[in-house]
Amino acid sequence: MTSDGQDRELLARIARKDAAAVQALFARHQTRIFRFILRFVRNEAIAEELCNEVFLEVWRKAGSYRGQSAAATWLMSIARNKALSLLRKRADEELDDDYAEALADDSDTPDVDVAKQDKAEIMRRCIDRLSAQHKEIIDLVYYHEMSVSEVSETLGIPVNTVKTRMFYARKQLSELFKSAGIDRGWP
Amino acid sequence: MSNTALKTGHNEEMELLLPWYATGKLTDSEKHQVEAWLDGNPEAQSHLEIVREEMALTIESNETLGVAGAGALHRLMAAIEAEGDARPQADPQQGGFMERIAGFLGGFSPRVYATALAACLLLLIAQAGIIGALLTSTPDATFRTATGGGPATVESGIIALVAFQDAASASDIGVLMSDNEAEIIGGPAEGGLYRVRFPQTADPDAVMNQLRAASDVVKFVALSQ
Repeated sequence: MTSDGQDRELLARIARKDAAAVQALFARHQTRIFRFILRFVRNEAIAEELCNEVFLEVWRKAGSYRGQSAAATWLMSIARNKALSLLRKRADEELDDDYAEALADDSDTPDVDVAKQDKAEIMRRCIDRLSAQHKEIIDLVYYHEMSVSEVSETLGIPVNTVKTRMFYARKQLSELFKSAGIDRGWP
Repeated sequence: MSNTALKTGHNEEMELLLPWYATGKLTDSEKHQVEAWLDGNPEAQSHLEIVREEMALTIESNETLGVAGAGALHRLMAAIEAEGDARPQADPQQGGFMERIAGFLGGFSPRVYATALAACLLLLIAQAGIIGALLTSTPDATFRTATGGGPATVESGIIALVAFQDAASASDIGVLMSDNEAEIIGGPAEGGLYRVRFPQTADPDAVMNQLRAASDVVKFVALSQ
């Protein structure tokens, strides 16, 4: 059985209120969902709480899963909605310390960066500095290994927009690399 | 959004598909189109290397995010229990074979899980046999998959993410590792990336140059830490 087939079977069992199945699904997907949410909220405790809320929602709504998208894509969509909902609530609130610290890091000049970081670390920091929209699609494609159609379903955008958004995310990344003194010769 | 930046004079659609080619997520038809575009096109091939570098960096960036605390599952199950509609749980020891397998696999992150499956497939080819020997050649090496979360032990030495040429033989790889006092400590991840450790005393730039020079064996290399 494929990985998605196993997920679907677990969801069917969860719909029948089989608690062991939700444990298995949690074990299979918790890490990547936690990391996906953490990219949005930048706070481990909040990410962990939202991650649990995702699985609680799965527990409540597994019966409504119709199998039109891969189970993992469905989970990621729930996670994304949870994270965005929290960010919308937080928009008018004061920045928490972690977030403020992260923004402060962004104020380093490229010269300072080069002096204190090795090249790979600089490049990773450039990824962290992408706009939220671009970082999200880079993560979904490269880390979560979603296909064009899966990204389209998760983000709710047309497949052609997925392709061009990914292109511009990569372009923004190259520009960040350049500003940090790393010219890759593309685009 | 303007598409001006896409007007590079190259095959735009192929350029757009490169990230998914690198992650192995294209349809067969699209994959063949991209491969035809890459064939005999050094500039396109260099773009693919850039994509692979981005992929490696993104994976590394995500892996540094860590994992949720150990109590997360306990809290989830408590919340589910509070819902009051759960069926009584069977004794895990009495569960079926698939249940126990799911429980075992559940201990791994999805990426480690995928990597483990890829590693199993790799055992079916001869190259993997030799690579496996390389993996076990250093008894005190800390094993860690190319992209998955492994033991919390800090890896010493210089770590690089390396993809080998499809045509590279296991002995070619072995010689390259030996010449550079390197060892494969994990992988392969999706895209065929291995984690390779070089001595702490090695010069990172020299390591990169040597591996890039061995282009008949090495398809892609990027420093990991």
